[in-house]
Amino acid sequence: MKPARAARLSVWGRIVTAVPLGYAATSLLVMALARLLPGDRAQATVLATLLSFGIYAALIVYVFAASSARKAFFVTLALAALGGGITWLSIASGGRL
Amino acid sequence: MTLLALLVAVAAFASLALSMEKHHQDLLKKRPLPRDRRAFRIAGWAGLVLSYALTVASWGAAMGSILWFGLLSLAAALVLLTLSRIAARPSAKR
Amino acid sequence: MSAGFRQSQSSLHTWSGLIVGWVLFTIFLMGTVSYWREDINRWMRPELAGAERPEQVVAGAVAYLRDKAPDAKNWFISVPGKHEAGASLFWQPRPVEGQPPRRGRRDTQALVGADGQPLHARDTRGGEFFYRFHFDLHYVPVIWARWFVGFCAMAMLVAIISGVITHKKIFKDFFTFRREKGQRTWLDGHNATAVLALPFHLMITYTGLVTLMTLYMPWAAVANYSQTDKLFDALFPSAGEVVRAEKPAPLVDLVPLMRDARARWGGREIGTIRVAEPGDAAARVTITASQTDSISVRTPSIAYSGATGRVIWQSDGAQSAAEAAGVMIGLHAGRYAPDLLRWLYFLSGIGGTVMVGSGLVLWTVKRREKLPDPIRPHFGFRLVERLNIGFVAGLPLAMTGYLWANRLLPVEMEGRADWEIHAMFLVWGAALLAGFLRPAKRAWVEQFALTGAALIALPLHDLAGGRELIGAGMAGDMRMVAMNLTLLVLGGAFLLMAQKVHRYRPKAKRARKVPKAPEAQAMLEAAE
Repeated sequence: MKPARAARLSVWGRIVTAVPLGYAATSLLVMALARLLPGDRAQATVLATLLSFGIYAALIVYVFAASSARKAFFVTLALAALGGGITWLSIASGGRL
Repeated sequence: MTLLALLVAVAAFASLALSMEKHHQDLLKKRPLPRDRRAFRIAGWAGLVLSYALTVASWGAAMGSILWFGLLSLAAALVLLTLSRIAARPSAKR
Repeated sequence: MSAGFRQSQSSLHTWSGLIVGWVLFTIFLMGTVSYWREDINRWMRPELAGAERPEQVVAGAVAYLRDKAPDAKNWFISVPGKHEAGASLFWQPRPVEGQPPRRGRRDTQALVGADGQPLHARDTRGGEFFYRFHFDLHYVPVIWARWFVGFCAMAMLVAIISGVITHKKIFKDFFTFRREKGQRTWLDGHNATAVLALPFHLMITYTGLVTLMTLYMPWAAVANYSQTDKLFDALFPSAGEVVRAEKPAPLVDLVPLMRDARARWGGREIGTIRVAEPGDAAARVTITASQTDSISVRTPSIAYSGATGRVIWQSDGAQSAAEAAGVMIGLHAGRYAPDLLRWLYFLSGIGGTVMVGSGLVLWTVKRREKLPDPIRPHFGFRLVERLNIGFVAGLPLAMTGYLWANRLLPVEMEGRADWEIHAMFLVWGAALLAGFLRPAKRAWVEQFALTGAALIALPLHDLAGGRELIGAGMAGDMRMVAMNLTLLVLGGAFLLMAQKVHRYRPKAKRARKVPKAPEAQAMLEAAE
């Protein structure tokens, strides 16, 4: 693969990782946060939501700073899995209001 | 009081500018000594704190804090425009 | 901080900024002028007299509603602020069996004065149009618009963060603004407007996202609640549904209730009044405090029985995170801001608009230096350069066109409110087209100059018309005087910009590695 093409694919890869996959990962992490934050459920929900935009922005910055597009992808995927896993376990054991 | 806070902020930013090599040179036509730089820097930060205190004294903590950021932007802009005008003068060109 | 990290952030900054730059420029400009929307509302309804006492206006509103919609399910009255004339009100008609509820119909709203009569002013969306546009856009479904605007806001947030990371010498360069140095000047201008009001830009972008967070990030609610209604009830407790008693009872006078509410709140102004089931024994009057007296938009409410005037329910204060959210939204909207702070908001917003605009121009200035063939730049460059004109110069021109349409369209014209808006888009379309067809530099100058002249001509036109405006000035309506002065100053600023662009001659470049053909150089100069 020519270097220019590889570079373009790498950038597009990062964009796909950052924007849609990043949104999914952020959402799952925010769900986990909403479950884990102590105190009143309504307040925990609001707080997690307030933080979400900072989390998403930080994730996007990371994806473009990561040493490779592949690494960025797997880290984002892992974060999504982490968020999803925690959320699922928490709901399965504690239920929702 | 708010006007005073603004003027203090302007003076503070001017002092901070003077603590920097480039602007010190443009304004005072000489290289700053390290102790001058430190003095201007301390005066500048002190001025910012003073302007914050003046603003909060007038407006209360919440409103005062918000207003202070606005005053800072205005003060910094005024200092920046003045500095750039001075630096652009033919006499300043080397 | 590694060079590679900084470089990656620099590219991220440029691309995230450019892709949504034109939309962000629009959002910033529309949002910034919206800090004066009440004044723009008044300016666009010059027939109206100044503000009247809220209690009298509410009494008039109730009289009107009693006459017009005595059996409505709900009345909603917006109590006028200090600088507004008349109460804007709407009602929810009794739902008819089998018919779906009607929403947002023009025939269930009115603007009413203290005498209980609808205020006669030209039909216009006023400053509200600019305000709604900056998140709802126009001509498109509102949900699409909000998602698109949210996407752009996220890009802005990323651009701010990556911009700060990229700007290595952010403090060393804090006061640097090198004039007449071409690309350096644009860069310094972009940096200066960005850095000097950085707290504002960061705040406005983040809080803008928070304002629509239930749309953008509903997942936390999904994680904790099986139905989001439960979260809503937990966060915004109310006195519950009003169940009609089917027993008529006259509605109490609202003015004593207003006074009671204000006394309980330590003198805060009233924002809105809702009357549920007016004329019924189960009627309820819910009075909510105005957003002008606290930073948070979550303001207290008190519910009174509409038949007896007794207090039924009072809201509690919002708790930690909910209060934080309310404060964040309040910071964005700035409704709490007294005039001095409002001016600072406005100036910071202008700074933000200039930041985005200068960023867009900087992109072309930087790329122009690297063009292999300056006469026939590649399509991407041409597109950006020409769209820049249509937006950065064209949008202000279009917005001025909206104000002019308000003055020129016949007052009795059918649908004139919509046509004022169409006029704005027509001017904008023409500007965009001109941006593509005219030589670039000339297009900039023409549109800036036209905007400047048009802005200055507005108060002059009003003066020449004699009319209400002079009357308002004589009555000591300083706000309208200030509004007109602002139009004059802004107009002057645009004329100044036109002059600067007109006089701009790019400095002779240093010898390039690939020397330009003499004909190419001559053609370049002729194009300016």
